Amino acid sequence: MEIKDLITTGLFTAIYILQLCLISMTGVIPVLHFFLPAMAALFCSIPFFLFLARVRKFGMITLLGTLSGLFVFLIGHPWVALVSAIFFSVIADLICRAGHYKSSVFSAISYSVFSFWTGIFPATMWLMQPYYKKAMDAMYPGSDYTMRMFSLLNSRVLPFAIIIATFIGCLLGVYIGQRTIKRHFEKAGIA
Amino acid sequence: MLVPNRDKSKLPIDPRTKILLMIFTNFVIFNGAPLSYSLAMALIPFGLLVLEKKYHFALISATAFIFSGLTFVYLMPYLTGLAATFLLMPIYTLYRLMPCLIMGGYIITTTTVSEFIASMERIHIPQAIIIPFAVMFRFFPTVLDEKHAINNAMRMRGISFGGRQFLQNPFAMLEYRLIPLLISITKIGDELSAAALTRGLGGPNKRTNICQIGFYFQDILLLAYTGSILLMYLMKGCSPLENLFS
Repeated sequence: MEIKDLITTGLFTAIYILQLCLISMTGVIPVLHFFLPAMAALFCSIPFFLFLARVRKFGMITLLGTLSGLFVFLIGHPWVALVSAIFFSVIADLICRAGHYKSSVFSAISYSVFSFWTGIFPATMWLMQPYYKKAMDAMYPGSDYTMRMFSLLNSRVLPFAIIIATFIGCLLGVYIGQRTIKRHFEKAGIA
Repeated sequence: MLVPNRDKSKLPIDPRTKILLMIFTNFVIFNGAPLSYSLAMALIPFGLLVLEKKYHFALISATAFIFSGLTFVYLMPYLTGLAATFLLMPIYTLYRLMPCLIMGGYIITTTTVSEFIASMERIHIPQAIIIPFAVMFRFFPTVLDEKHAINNAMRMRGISFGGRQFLQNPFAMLEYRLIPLLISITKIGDELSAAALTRGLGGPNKRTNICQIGFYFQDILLLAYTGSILLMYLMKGCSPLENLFS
């Protein structure tokens, strides 16, 4: 990777993270917090595909993911977020590489895989569940309140709903992203 | 990292110390330490924020912390079922997360980009990570400026949220905002990389940096305090990963 590519990566990471922050602000409305990955997949696709068109080198998606993970870690999210970001972005990078960074099908799959790293934000709920239970048990010993509370989280419906919503978000995001790149950026000679 | 210049009168703390503090706090909190531990950890960013004279931010975050704590303790018994899960899990998460978020806010608002680069170079982080990271922080204000300008231009043409066009085609809003933004940002990026190359970024020589960084008494004190909390926590026999994935 050359200096120019590194600068481009930093730039698109800035846009990606700002968009992610804007989207995560909707998480103030309680239910939407669970569907942050889906919304992120839907709305972040345009910068991502422009980024793919601008760099086309191995390591760039990894770098984008790593930087996003680092940022998210630095502003105080669990360290698991960093691990998840690196994990998914490396896979996305390898997929994109298999398509020689040109194939639109491979880049679509790559984007979908990459999008799933944001799944760590709702997943924090599950990760914190043991402590939550502990705190509840300490405060209200012997009540079935805790169990009722977790019936929804443990029902397996919610994770599936999140995953399916994210998947739909990816599909729509890929459609919007690739169409926009063709319509605007290729004509302008930027992509 | 969003601050261009450092006020010399304030307490200098090495960026490496800040990151270590963050790692310690993160580690203790997300491995399910009792609340007393996270409170002990939360004292650090509060204290640092007050020392940095960021009273506003300290006040807001303290209020959020106390509010979520009180809501969790006193409101919880009155909520059941779906409402409880959807409302109280986020509140509990916020309650636990606050120390980390405050620490994050402290790091972001008090570290300059140059200091950050200097300290990262000192511990031999590869250029491939330092350069994009610095560029990223340099670009946050630029992107927001551009966004503001584009919003103004669009409003002049009657394209705004809640307008008639928005109701006809919500995605057009995204298109009208994002595409001018991306085009102008890529232009700025090209100019920036040309400027950086002229100034010798990526050259073979070692670059110098004006920032004086290093570990001083306050760094050692902070690290000793958080380190001892971490040690106490580990001594209790809590294996870090055991809690997380059980």
